[in-house]
Amino acid sequence: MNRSLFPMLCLLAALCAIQPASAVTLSPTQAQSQGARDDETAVSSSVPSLDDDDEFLDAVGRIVPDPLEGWNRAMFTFNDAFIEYAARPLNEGYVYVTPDFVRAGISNFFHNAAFPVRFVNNLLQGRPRAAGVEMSRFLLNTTAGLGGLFDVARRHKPIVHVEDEDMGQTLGVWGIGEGCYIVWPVIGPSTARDSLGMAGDYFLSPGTYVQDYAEVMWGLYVFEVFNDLDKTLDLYDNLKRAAVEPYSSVRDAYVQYRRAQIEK
Amino acid sequence: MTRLIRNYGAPLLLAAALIFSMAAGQAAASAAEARAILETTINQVFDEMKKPELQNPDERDAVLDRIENIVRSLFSFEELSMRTVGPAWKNFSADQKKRFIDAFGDLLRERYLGSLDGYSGETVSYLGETSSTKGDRVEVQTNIIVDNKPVPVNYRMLKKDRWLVYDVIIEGVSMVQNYRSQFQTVLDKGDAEQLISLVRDKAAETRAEQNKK
Repeated sequence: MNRSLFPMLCLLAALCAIQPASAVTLSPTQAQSQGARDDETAVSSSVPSLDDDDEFLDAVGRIVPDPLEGWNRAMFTFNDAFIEYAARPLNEGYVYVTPDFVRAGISNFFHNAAFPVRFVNNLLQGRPRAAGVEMSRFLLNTTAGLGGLFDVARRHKPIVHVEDEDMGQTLGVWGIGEGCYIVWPVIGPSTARDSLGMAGDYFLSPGTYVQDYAEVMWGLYVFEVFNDLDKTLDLYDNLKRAAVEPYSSVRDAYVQYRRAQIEK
Repeated sequence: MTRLIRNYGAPLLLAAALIFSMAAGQAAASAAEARAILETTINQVFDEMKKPELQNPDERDAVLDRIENIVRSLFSFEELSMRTVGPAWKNFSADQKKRFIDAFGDLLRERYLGSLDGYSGETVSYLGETSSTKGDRVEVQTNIIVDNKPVPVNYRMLKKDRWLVYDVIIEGVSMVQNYRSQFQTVLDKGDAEQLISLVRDKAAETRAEQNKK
């Protein structure tokens, strides 16, 4: 791993003073100050239960602390420009010249190769059955699926669908709170916890170990994301089009979505 | 006291069980009722979307108006507005409330109806319903199957004169909460008037974008 990245992440984690798991920061209207307060309503999940829905009417929704908002907004603007002027045009060209089945094959290959990430995180979350499913999928797709190019396991009835697990979710399951919200250049929205998770997953990714040349490895990671970028862009467009305040919308959607993933 | 329980304990327990099961039965009945309304309405929307008139520029607006009426009968825009604005709603004047509800309804219409291309084989499977303890609220869990992939969509409904949707939760992301976060950011710095004009502007911007296509 890039030597300067890890200390930076540690600094970030310290800076954000990791909060208790899944505590939605809700402060009364009068008190606009952020941070933990005694009179805040904390709920165990992002979306309140049916019975609790009305309590939320009297609470100001601050889904996640955002002390780095200045930096984050700047990065949000940078990423948006990066998407519109670089990533999207490049991706449109790529989608145009590359047949769908080739892109699907590449996508399957990368997903299959990232098997250790999902396998280990399932084990770390105490889900041996899901880990077993991942193992079966990996064995079947690597052999019958020609090294992972074809997702034959999907058509295999006894192999059920399991959710993709990652280290950020594992840390969440272990009760580690999100910490603060952070927007990384190019990578996009994250939290202190999920950034640590990304660093952890990096060590579980096979690409990290097969190459002596860092450029090749990073190139592979970029290509992996780029190959599936059209789907991410669809999601981003939908969110942005419906948003009155896009920055807050993406921040909220990211945190809600991650909490839902952790609960699953 | 002990004698009281000995003598009347069993009937009391029975009565309690009966009342409890009736309440549970009622909750189940209301959940089924809410789900039926949701299902009927979604089917009506699909029926309209399947009509070829939607592709005809001259008749498109008429179909969209019909869909809008169907959708409006299912959603409570007042509840949606109240819940997305949050505690600040109390400080809105009656006039501001009305203008906000109109502007927000307009934005949602432009965003979700304006881009409607027609029916492309989506199906909905109904996974189940949960009811609140009081039975006044129901969440209906569904999967919308788009391109063979299920997208979990849950509808939260409450009973006014009929069952109305007040929140839609897509892949774990509540629409009400998402807008609430956005509106909070606006209200932190501005007031009701600024929020209303921002929502209006966004609706107009979305409309202009749709018309360009």
